[in-house]
Amino acid sequence: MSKKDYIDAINEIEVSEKLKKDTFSKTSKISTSTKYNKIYPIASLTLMCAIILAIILPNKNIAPISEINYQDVETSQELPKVENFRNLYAMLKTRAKNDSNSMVYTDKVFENAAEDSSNIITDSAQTGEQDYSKTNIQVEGVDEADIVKTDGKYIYYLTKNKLTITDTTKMIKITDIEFNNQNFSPKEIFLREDRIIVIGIRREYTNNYRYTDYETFTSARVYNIKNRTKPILERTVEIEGKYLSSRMIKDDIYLISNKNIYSYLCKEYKINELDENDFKPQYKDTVTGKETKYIDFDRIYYIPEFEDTNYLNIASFNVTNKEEATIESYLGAGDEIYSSTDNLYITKVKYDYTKEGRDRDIRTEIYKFHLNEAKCIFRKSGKVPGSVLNQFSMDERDGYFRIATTDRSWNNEDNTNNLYVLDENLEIVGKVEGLAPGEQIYSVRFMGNRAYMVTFVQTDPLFVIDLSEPTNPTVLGELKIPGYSKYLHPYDETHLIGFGEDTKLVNYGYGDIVITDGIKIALFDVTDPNNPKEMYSEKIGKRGTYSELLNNHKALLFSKEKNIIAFPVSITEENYKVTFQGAIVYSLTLEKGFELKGKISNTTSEYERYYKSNNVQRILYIKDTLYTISQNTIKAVNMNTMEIKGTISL
Amino acid sequence: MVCINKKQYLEETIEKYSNMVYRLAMARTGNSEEAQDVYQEVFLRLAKKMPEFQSEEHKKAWLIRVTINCSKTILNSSFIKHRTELDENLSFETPERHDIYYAVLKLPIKYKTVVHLYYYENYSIKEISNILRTNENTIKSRLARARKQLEIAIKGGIEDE
Repeated sequence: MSKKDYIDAINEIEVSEKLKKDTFSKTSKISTSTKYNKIYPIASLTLMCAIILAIILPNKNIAPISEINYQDVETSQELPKVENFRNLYAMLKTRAKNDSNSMVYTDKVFENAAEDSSNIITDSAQTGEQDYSKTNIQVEGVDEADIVKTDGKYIYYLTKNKLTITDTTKMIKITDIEFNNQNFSPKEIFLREDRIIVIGIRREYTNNYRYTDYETFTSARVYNIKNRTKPILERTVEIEGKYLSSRMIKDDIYLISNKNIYSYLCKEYKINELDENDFKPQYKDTVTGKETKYIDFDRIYYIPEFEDTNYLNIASFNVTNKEEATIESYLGAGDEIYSSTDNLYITKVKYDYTKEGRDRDIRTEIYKFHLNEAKCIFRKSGKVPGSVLNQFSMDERDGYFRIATTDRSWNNEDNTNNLYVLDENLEIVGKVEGLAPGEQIYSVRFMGNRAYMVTFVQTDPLFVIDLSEPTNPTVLGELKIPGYSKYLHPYDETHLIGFGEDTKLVNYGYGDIVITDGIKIALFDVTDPNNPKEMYSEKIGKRGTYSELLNNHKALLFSKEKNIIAFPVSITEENYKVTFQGAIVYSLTLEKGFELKGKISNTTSEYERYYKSNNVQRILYIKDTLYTISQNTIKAVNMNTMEIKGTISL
Repeated sequence: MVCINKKQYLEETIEKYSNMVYRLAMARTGNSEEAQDVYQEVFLRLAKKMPEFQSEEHKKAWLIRVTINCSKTILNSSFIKHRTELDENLSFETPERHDIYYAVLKLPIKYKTVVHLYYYENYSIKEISNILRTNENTIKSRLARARKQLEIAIKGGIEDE
């Protein structure tokens, strides 16, 4: 064993983005001791000069930026454009001074891709029945990308550097699409009939040492898999920036990325010392040509008031035809997205540092886009107080947009939780504010005219909020139980399942402390909304037990028809010892509650529990067979008897 | 780069040193929950104090020392003493990485800090002695003893390449 093994091991340990962001927002709130650098007066002077110059310069394109009439923008729905580099430069120079909101991290992961060829099997998996599981998505009709997909016959599974296609009828691996030779790191896939769309990050190394060592692109590769043994790369669509998220509606894919702008250069250099192309976002669509193109400033929009020194890039294209992708670029940024079949909402949490005190210094900005046949058109922007947690905190129904936020305070003591209803123009028309003071939202689920919200500090209140009157949302009931749910899934119209962690209070001599104590799943009865009840609950493992489901809804397999709940888990008992890694499978009925059907592990020895390659990542079903998916193996198990039917080595 | 704004300065520092601080905290505490606490504390101290650094190296060394101090405080608190166990829940790409990581974690805290700084952060014995404000010979012997213990724990010990 060598020094390199240790370095590699340590390099696998990464700080979560959330911890970074939390820490940054905490540090930012520590009152500034005004220990400015000596350069500050000079910099601000040049800054002022730049602004004055910008205003008095007889250039028609510069004035509108500082004097833009918001009213006009609101009504016309037509956003102003950046137009030229002078405008961008002036904008960046002024904004860079108070811009710390634009924490868009560049991706650190990257690996590599190659070709594959073997014998030919032409086969489509289309059959009349659709008796197989799909990715656990939020909105019916809006597909979300994941690391594994199935069409009822084949399983398509993406690992770190290859996409593996396996035939479940013959229990064999058919082919791998490898990504070894390019600086391409695949992240997720979509499946649309005979096409697989692999979405990932591509890095392009540059010699442009002044800015960066490499440029990051969010890349979508469309493979035709009519012949499953010989997938053909049909098309590549790329936009510059770090991958944020994507959605697929029918044949249309919407791809969203965040791209940093080197705004600090505008403070250091004069405009004529900079190359304007370095400030333009780039894109590529192989339908129109192999080369990467720039998006010109007269095609880049900006949203007044929403000050970001980033580009938000959106590519929309139809995977079945050869029409050129629509590429849109906005000065803006996003952290979470929600999409209905008609509208896409992108949110960005902003911290207002200029305000003293704890009041209303966090807001969530919302951009709304209309989606129609591979076109994504900006509609409106709006904002609500507080910060949004994830996509499940948002919902759209009958034209109303609903969003739940936590208005966080510095020490969490003055936190409040809120729910807002916004109309088509993103104006707030109804709200409930000040729920669960001192707590924060852990999960939200909208089901029809109701919202269910879980907040937490020591116990978990589940709030039931009625939204049938958009202008008057009301809390109908609440339930307090120990632990919290991090994900809520509908069971039927009047029941929902909570997946989360159990907690307990401990006292080591200086006050009560809440610590987590294993995974907890629970069934809630909300038939009487004024009086929600916990019908059943089940505990898994001790402190340290973890499931990806706690952070990613796509890890859940749930089917009411099949009466099955399954998710990957690594169970920890005493002393942080992992005693099990694999899939845990339950059945759930209103009469009997949760019943453990079995546990399926892809590991063969105790030691293997610690290696990622044997960790079950997802569970699928095709007809009556469950498949547990891990990097080395796919295991097939009979859903009813839990007997092992076979394994495929990958 | 010229820094005219504290928030930007913090943002850049956090972005740049995030993994360094977190990995060192992990190497010392062996537990991600504690490492996260240490991580936050380190950057909060930076924000509160806003020390003036002579150079980037100086800043890095300051962060390392504060990370070490913060993890010391956390490991000494009675609450942690009651319960700190190695978090064996981490999984790695290869068995080698797993084995060596845990072998290092099981070393006494003084040893693993030196091992981490020497092998991972690539500091020389002299630099480590400056950062830890400890005699060079002490560092040397800690490193030697750590190597010996690693040899017993894992086949072949830790080789330089």
